[in-house]
Amino acid sequence: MLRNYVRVALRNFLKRKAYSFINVAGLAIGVAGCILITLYVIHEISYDRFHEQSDRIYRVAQTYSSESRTETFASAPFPAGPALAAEYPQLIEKSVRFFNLQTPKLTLTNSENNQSFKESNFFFTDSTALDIFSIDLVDGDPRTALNNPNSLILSESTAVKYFGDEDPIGKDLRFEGRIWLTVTGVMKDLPANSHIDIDLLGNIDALRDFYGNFEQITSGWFWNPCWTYILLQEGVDVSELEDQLPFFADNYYHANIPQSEQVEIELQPLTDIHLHSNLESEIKSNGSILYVTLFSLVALLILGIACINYMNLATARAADRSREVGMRKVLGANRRRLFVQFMGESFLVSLLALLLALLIVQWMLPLFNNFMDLELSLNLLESWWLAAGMLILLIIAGFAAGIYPALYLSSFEPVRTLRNELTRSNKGKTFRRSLVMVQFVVSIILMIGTVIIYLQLDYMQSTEMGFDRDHVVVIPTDLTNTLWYYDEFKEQLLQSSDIWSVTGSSTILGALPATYFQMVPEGFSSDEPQSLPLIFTMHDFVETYEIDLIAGRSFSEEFGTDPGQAVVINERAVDYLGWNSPDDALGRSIVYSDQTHYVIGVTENFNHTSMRREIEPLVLKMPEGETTIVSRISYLSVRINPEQISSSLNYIEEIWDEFNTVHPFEYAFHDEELDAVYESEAAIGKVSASFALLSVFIACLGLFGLASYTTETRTREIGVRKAMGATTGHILALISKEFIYLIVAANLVAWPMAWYFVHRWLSDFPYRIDMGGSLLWIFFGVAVIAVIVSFIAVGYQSVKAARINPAEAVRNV
Amino acid sequence: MIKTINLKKIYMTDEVETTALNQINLTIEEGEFCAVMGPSGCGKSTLLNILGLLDSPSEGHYYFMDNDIAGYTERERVGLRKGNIGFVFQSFNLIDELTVYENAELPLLYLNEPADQRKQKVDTALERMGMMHRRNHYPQQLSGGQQQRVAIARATVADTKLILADEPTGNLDSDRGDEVMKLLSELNEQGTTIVMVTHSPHDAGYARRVIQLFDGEIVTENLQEGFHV
Repeated sequence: MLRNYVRVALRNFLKRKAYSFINVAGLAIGVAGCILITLYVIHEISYDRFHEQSDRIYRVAQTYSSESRTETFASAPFPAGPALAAEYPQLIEKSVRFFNLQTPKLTLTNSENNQSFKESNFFFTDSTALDIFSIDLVDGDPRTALNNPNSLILSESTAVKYFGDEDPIGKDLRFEGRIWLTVTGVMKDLPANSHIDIDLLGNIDALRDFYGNFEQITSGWFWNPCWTYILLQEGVDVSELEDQLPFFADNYYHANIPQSEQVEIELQPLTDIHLHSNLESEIKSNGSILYVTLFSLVALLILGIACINYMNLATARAADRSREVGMRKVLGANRRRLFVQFMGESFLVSLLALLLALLIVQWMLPLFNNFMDLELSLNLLESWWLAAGMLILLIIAGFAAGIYPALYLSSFEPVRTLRNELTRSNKGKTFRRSLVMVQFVVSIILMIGTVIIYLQLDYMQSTEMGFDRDHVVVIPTDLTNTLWYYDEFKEQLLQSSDIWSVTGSSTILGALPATYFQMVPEGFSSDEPQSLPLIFTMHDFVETYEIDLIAGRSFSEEFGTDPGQAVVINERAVDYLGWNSPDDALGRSIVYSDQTHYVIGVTENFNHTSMRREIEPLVLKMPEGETTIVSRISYLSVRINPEQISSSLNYIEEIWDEFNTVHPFEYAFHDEELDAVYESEAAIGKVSASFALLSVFIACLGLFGLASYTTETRTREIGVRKAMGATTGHILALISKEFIYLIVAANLVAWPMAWYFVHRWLSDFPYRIDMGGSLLWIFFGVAVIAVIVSFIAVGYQSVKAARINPAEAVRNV
Repeated sequence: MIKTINLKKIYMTDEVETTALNQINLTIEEGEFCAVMGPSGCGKSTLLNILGLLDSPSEGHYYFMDNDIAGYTERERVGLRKGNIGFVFQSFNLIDELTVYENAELPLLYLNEPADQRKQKVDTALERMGMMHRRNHYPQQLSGGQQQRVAIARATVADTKLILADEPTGNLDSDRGDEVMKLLSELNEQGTTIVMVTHSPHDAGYARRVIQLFDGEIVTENLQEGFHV
């Protein structure tokens, strides 16, 4: 019997090639989309689970709160980890810190071939790192590899980068041109699903020779540059440790930091970091559980849409099969057997779709990886669970798609089918139409969502932030020589007529958060210092970024006291500090670091963090003295002639190389840096766009199939109408009308839902696109697109139907 | 084999109640060849459907092989129908996607007969109908007469006791129609009971008994002496 079912299914499949193609291709595209998203979701939720002890590893995060701010950091002060482990040995087995000198890139040189690389994933750590995390050494002894202060572990790919085929163990590399590190181990490259990317690991003690004041900086409780992890003792419940943390904060933090700051410590499970943590100073930008949930839903929706198509076509085509069903029943088939037969057909289509989907995924995966900046792979032979997942997907898709048609078809009464009473029945028409409508509702919501995401992204990237970001080259300077010779460097640059302005700052304006500092503004007592964001800048900062001054002046070389005594604030700070007006603020004092500074200028408000945050009060101050300049300034900003970009960059590099032998010239354009801030929004925009396209395509396939069926079943009606005098135009309108109504109805259903989702997403942004009238235009525009697309989908069938020869049409039925 | 007592079939639509069969009392013995005649809409096909257990009566009793099928569920009716009743339709009703052989095999599949027995029975049935040489053809590749012969092969393949034929020659020319009627006669001679609905007095001439229906009631019932042999 099974053979008989398979035979009938295959012959049916081949007999109606167009329907079969729509069925299989639609389902395959849906399944492929679903597989791709599933791979992505699996990747996202697999973060850090490769560490064998991941269930016992927690990261120490802390919230600083004062009157003016509350911020939670992913990193902790140097002593926090060791102190926790020493205080609670019965609860904590080990602790480890990762420190990257708070510098995004560190320079390492192979003196033998004089090759230098800037390393982004270089951390100084404790020797316990290898005991806590599953970092496998392929060369070197894991028990001793990090024991010496000058130890260095390289990842396999980094070892090849520096030493090629040579054995790297025992070889020396020079760190920042100042200290020697010896390779003691080579580790396997960490997998991509790690919240921390590690290419190089050194011992924190190596920095004794690097920082003159090592003891001082590693004993403070205020500066928190170390990502700190603890390994709980086996069998310990984390809540036991959490109960102790308020006492620990009191005993260690509050005893060592200003009274106005309150600290709360929390422990983040290692495996939760990637999807649930979005704190200040994350090692890299994490994923988001919201997006993962959203994408999972979309995957299900896309699969659902594809299944609906199958359901729809199979049900619509029921009339074709009704005689078969009737005859089988007459010959002794009961409903269960027929149900099994039609479910089997659905599984067969699902199987073909799955095979096709796997081909599509293999073909799309490199593009998807490139698009999403991922390294996903699909290898069913290696991952049994993925194969099992596919099987489950097949069963779900086969079942979801087949259940309704199987129930419907197997319910036919033989007497009626043999009398041909069902062929022209309208039974199920409303249901089929509703299914197509559901597909378009989903597609329309996705289309609207995509447009809104891109508009918001464009809005954030292009809206004036209160400073001019164009044609400014940003050069990172941490640990380089440049700042020691800042004045000479600047002077030489300005000798070129294409270099219009040069300045320095502690942060990239609008891309990185400013650091908060304690200060006592005029009108506040020294007992109530205020935490205010402060950016250190060199001369010409306001000018280089063309920030508007509304009172006073900016820092000037004419006033030698500016570095030690002057601050420039923004208008928001004037309001925040309760001063009457920008002019009123001029000359008022702000005590910072025990030194009294005076407000010399007030700027207009500008977004110094990002468009994701409200404009905050801001203090601009110059560092005083060479050492402070070197420690505080991290970036140079150079405004260049927009018509001479390439020659200007060559010129800057030439001058840079004169001052730097260790550090190669690196730069970025300020506007690109700002665009990168909105990477996560750009990513979701891309994904949403892909899904929207996919769902529209699948929905159109469904519509095409349904239209072809409708025209087929209405052939006689069309023939009669034409015989009665209907023109091609009339028939065209007759066929298309019903689908256009459907799409319009789908829009009306989709709009409130889309509005709800869009509104919720946008409400997280303080600066956002207008959610009033212009939103309606977007909705309307998407509706028009949907109507046009659906018209194209049904157009071919409508024209074909309209050109029917009435004599033939009437004779055929 | 067949006995009906006061059989009644009423079709209900929203506003109209139509009596398709009224007070049908009928007995058909095993081995009979019985023709049912009457104008269109007189209830011939309804009677055939009820006799074939495809439909159930609204009132009265129907005994098939001594089973009172009143109150039988669909599943029970299917169980009784399988292997006992074969159908031959005016429009043949072969399944387009199956070959001649596969169409004929279908009833045996539903009877779960083993493969070797199936093959033997299908071969015999097709041989008897002279369709062996077309066993791998699809219905659309056959003439109407050939299709009806396949349908008869299908109806008899399970050694059914009763064949119900609904206008079996209605779609055939007279020569092909005669061929089909001769085949049915042969089957009847071999012991198969046949109940045939027909418009054609010529075809009815093959039957031993002719029942005339009018407006859902039996108006005459004649035994024919000079029926075709």
